[in-house]
Amino acid sequence: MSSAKSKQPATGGNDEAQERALIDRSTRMPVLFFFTSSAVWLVIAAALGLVSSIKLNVPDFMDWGAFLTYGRVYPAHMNALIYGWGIQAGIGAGLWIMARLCRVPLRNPVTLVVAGHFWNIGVTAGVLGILCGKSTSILWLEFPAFVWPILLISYAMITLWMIVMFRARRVGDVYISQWYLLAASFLFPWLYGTANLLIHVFPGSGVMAAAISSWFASGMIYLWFVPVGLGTTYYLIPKIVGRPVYSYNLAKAGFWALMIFGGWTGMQRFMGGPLPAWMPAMGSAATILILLPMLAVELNHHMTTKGNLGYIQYSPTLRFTVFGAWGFNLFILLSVALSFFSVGRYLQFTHAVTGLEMSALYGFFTMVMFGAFYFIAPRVTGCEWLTGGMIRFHFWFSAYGIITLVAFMIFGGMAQGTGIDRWDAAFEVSVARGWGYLVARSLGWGFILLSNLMFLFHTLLMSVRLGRRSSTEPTLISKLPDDAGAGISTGAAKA
Amino acid sequence: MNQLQKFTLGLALAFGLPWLFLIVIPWAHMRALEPVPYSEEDGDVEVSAYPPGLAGRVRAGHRVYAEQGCVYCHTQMVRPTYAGSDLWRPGWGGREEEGLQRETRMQDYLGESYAFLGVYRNGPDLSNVGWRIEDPAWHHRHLYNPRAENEWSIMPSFSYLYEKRPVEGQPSADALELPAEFAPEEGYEIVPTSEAKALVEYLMSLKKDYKVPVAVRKGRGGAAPDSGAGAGSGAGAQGDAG
Repeated sequence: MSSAKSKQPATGGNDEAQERALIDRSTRMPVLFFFTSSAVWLVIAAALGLVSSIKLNVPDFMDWGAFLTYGRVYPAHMNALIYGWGIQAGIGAGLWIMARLCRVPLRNPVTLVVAGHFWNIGVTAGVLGILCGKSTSILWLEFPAFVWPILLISYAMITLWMIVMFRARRVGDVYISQWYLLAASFLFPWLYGTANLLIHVFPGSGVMAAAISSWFASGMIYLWFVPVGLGTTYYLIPKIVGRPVYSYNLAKAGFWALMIFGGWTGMQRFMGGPLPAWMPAMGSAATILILLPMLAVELNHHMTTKGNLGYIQYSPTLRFTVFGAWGFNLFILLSVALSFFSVGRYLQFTHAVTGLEMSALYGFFTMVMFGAFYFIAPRVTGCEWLTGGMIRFHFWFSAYGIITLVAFMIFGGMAQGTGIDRWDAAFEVSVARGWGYLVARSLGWGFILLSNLMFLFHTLLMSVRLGRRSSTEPTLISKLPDDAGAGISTGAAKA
Repeated sequence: MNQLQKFTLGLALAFGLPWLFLIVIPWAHMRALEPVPYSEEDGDVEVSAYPPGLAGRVRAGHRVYAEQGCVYCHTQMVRPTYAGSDLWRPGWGGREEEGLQRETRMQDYLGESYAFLGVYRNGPDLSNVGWRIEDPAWHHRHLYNPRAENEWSIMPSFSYLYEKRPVEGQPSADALELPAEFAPEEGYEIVPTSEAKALVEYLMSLKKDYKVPVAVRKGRGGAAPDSGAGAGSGAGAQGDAG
């Protein structure tokens, strides 16, 4: 990447600017569609997360019958977060980054918007299905069984468009972000199709079905959310600090290591379970080995940003993205720790699992996606975000919320897990030990909900192009001092 | 070969290996698992087969269990002693007085379309709840309002699976006997719907401590090609339990 990047001048001539404008315009419709609908789903997911969390403290809270029972609200919340927010946000950012890096306009954007509509219909039917009591209770696949073909076909369109763009690319060099995005586009249909076929269409042993779902959930994290997230950080961080990725070879090695280990992970969720013992052991080993790609990514980001992180004070994109990159490191370290049998035996079925999943889905992926929204939306709409104050609010409430959530869930998991392990004490002990930490979980979701209501409002304004129009400067979190380098302001603004 | 082809091939290899060896092949093998008849020749004392089949009502209860999302707080997975203290907790591993407690095994879940091994343990493990609480009336009271049985419980009330109706003539035989603070007003009774009955039937059926046939323990039984590993851990459980 270093060589490829350096060939591209930081601020191109008129032709290049025109070309970029053309690409941006071609992606406007699908990108804005996926951005706005995902932001709506994020608010829904956070609200459901808050309700489900309070229910763990106060079981009679909103006891309005079957519709809102904990066992339905919780999976509805997770699925809204994964399929409504996560995947759609990733698609939106991925399409735009892919088009920019291939330097080709997106053809037939309308078809993608149609696919996006079908995706939303599928997710809506799925979430309502869960709430109406049609949940399958299969991990991360809780949608009623009729939903998955809709999602699979809609996603296949995205995959197809990614491949078409890639094949039509106008630059020979391939950026690491493109590999990550392409891999995610291939792997989602593969993972999702396999899991659904082997569970719904050709059902086998119930234990294997559970194992497959745990493999699927983990595969979604390591082979979809992580690649899309890292593809985005590898694009945004060098762009904003104005330096090429430190080492392309290191980036490539990290990519392939992730692809090689990612598919083996997941079954450690059932360590000590009724599976052949090698399967969870394999999952643990592979998860521990994911430390290697994490180190590669971390080293690369570190060397790329070295000495340039001062921009984090001003650039919303850089601040969210770097937060997300740190979230990634934390997530991998946590997942490695939980993969050891000696730790897993205490934390396996505890709140710590929530902490782990949220560090990946929110602390890492969602924060990176926020960075991408702040970068991409002004480019496709032609107007700037309304105020830095709203971005600041969004950042602090999100950051505070997710840190609270993850920290308290990890420690809460320890308290609860050691309580469960005390076999000679009543089970009540573990419930009592976890209770206080769950209050913090509700607080965390409350902060996240607030921050994302603001974000949704801001995104909707952008999507109807009600941002700042007069200025050519990007909206920053706080005012840039006069003597600051120009790198961030213009370079990051319109490149 | 162009870059895209090379990439696709690499990806197919990297992901195809775990896909094949961790998912597809084990799935095909475990699909062939079948109940194993107990054999007198081997020294089994039970009759019929391990595990016994599921009654229709129990299957319906399995579906209710999924629809209500019980799995988000209750596991059905008893871990061997190297992986947790489950077997020591009274009642979790099965009938202690008969020395039958053991960790759960692959075959225990035969006949279930999906094994609800669990996500969280906000509530206790249910693998052997059928032995722990053998009174259906307790289950009904507990589902109707968990606080009626356990003051500390954070389990939601499933009162929507019950019907409140005026008593006409003789009170129903199914009517719940609730403590005063949870009981309906005079002249009314709470009766379970068919869903609640199926769910309780299912919970009462959760007795995953069946004696494992000698043949399976020795690694000969069933169509399980992997039973080498399974039988190994089974033998371990016998040791732990004894």
